[in-house]
Amino acid sequence: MTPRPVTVITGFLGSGKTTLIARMLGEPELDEAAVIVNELGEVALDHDLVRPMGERAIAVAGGCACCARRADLVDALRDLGELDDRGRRPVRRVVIETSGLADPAPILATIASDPVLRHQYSVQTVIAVVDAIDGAAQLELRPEARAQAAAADWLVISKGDLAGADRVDALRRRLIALNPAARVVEATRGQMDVVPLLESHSPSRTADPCVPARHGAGAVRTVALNLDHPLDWTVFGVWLSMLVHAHGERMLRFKALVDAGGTGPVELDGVRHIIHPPIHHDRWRDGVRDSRLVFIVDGLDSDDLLASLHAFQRHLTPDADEAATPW
Amino acid sequence: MCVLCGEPLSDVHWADREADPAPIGVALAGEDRDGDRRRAWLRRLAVLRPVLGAYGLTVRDWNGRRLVLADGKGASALARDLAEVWSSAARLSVRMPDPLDPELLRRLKP
Repeated sequence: MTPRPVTVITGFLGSGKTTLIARMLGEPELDEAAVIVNELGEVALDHDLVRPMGERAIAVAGGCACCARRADLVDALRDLGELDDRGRRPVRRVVIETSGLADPAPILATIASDPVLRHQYSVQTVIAVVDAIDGAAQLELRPEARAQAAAADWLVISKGDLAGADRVDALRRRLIALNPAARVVEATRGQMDVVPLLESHSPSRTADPCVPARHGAGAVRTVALNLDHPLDWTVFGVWLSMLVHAHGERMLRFKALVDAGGTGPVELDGVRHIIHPPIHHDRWRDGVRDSRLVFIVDGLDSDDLLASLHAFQRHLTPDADEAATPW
Repeated sequence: MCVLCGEPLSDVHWADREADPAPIGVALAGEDRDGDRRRAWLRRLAVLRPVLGAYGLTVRDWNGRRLVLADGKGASALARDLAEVWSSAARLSVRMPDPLDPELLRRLKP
């Protein structure tokens, strides 16, 4: 059975998440979709299958906040699966609206870790709605807003018609700096072409950064590494898994296309402690063979990351020629 | 895989999927694939040794399916994949294994 695609819609309080979902529900692609909402918003959804979801979390022994399992989400998704399996109501896709103050990481972890759900559902896309009027201030002041934007594959700027072009442009630049792995689009007067948002996972819009690039105000910054030498996959796996274990709470997002010596790059995508199974591509984008790594980190230093990656690759790669290696 | 909780997000750890469809931790038909898996497993062991050694730990192979981590006082733990390696190492070591640790990076230099 092919897992049902799940679209997660996140965004700060009042950013316009429900308006976007209402717009999406008008598309034929969502004819057989179910919607799980975290709270009843001001905008009513005219849809026959809207399920509420509480915030009841199952504590994981020795676990971390970002991957506490969301019990209500498990119940809601299993319930929808049964409806479909028993032929009562087809459920071909699920849209989950998070609460305005939610970090999306536990939702992703819940679906990926549940022994039943992980075979029935697959998170296809995370969309974060950012309000052009208050979004910049929320990103500056609220860690939840930064976590939401960092986890997104698509960033939708809402209320641009009320804020004006200058503020929209400034917010767009801020978002690109915060999450260069995401694509930024604008909803004008609530209207936009939502179909691309439903079709693809991770548009893979990686930055063309300096090496290393630093962006962002405060402790949250984007570190983009562009490396033109193949990485040893064994060493890289040891390094990244160790890094995520030690600093996952501070890694809001990780996205990479890694040259591991194959016929194409290995794509990796992670949020906090969660690294999704890699996707292996059989060809190089634009014919350019390199590795591109983007970290959105809170309080980690880009020089430290780069020095550590270099040290691991240089000193631990078997038979590495110390004199010839670029590390 | 959540590397902190050790909760399985997939049956195979992400780092064990070097070249699709040949996950390191999965039994594969054919001697070639098994040989590749074995070589990858031993390479990982070789990479882990100096890293864990910097934290006073040793690591050895156990049957080609598990790694055995041990401290200098005889305490040990089994690890199936890298997620379990780091959670076990964190329990056995006084210091939290950290790839940004300057002391670790200094020790890795030949």
